[in-house]
Amino acid sequence: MTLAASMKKQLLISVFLLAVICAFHQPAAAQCDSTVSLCAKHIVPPFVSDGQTYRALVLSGQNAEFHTTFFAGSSYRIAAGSGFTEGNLVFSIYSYDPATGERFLIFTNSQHNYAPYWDFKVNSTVEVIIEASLNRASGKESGCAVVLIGFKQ
Amino acid sequence: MRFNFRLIQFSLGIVAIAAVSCSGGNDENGNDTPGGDSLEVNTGLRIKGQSFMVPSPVQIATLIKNSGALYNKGMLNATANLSVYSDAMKRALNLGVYGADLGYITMYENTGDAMEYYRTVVLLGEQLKITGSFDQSLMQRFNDNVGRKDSILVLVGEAYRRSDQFLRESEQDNTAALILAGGWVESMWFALNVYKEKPEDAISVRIGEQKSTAEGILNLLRETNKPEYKELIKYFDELNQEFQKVEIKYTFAEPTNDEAHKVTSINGKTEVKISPSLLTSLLYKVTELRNYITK
Repeated sequence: MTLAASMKKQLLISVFLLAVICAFHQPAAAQCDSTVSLCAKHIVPPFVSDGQTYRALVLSGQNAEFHTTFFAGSSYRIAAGSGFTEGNLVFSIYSYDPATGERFLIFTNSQHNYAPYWDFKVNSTVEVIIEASLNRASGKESGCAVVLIGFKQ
Repeated sequence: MRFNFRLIQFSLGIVAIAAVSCSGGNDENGNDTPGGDSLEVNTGLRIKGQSFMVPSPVQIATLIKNSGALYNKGMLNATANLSVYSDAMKRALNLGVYGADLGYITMYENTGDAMEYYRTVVLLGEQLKITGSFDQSLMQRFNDNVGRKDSILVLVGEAYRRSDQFLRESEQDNTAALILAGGWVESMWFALNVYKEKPEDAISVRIGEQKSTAEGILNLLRETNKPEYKELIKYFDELNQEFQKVEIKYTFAEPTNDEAHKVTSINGKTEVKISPSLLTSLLYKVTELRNYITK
């Protein structure tokens, strides 16, 4: 076998192995994309998307945190999910005192049948932490947590 | 034999690269799996940790409109400047700037300017190769809804959300951060200029309420670890130092639930103290930063 032929054969084998490995490792992002679509159907008029998609990989028993500000006089809709069906994600909203670091529970969907979205009316501007974790009932050890925010004045 | 051994090494090297590049996926139970111990996997997904969400510039534009301030095209970044932005960083920053401009224009229902700025946003999106958001089909929907403020706001918000999603899916979180940063700077530019002409508490308080956002965006930019953002970060750092002088006091109050309508009212109260001299200083710093972004 010539040098060129041998190299070509080895290269083909390598490319084949690369393709096989990639085929069996669907990127985590793929599941995120489906979840984003699932959540986006709840951000509908009169709510306007804030223009962002928030995603985090969460492991069972662990939380992802998203920090933001809710402004006085606005209403917000938070839609959150994980995986391909609703109800896989527990999300909780805390108000937050930036001076002391103290946080106060405002809402958790675990007390509302794991609702995939909820609205918040904001009377005075508040710093907010959105905490997301996998619903134990989903039986998943890990998943992509997606949070979308819409607002209306 | 030595040659074959090198070929095997070469093959194993490629396979190893493949294993690393493809790590982070789904196991046989459909669980997403992180690629390692790092805080961020190669899909731009953050594991645990904290993420920062940047408020939409449209919210500032709404406040300005509600204050009674008149429409001022002079505050916008001229669309003619588009040709000046030759590198990816400036293009991404100004996609955010023009998006904030578009939000402002839409609030004032100025149809002619809206079309001009929408076209600019589409062009910048194309230059940044952001697909599936600022495209001709959306342009058509935009044309069909011209004059309907609420519909346009929904379209613009959705377009930016899709572009954000595209950027994160394609591991371009740095670009996403720049777009957010540009949009926020432009909205602060609006607010501080309107306050200068029309000093009302509603506007100064809303500016002061951006204290956390200023710090959050600075951290987002720092996390990119991009040497080419050094000057941008320097300007942001100086602006953030001024914002940290704002005094904020929060008092918690129990929320109230309307289960039937799936609504919770957040009843806590936030007090903001921001002096006129600090507002002047913020305007100076924002002007410096905006000049860096738009010139």
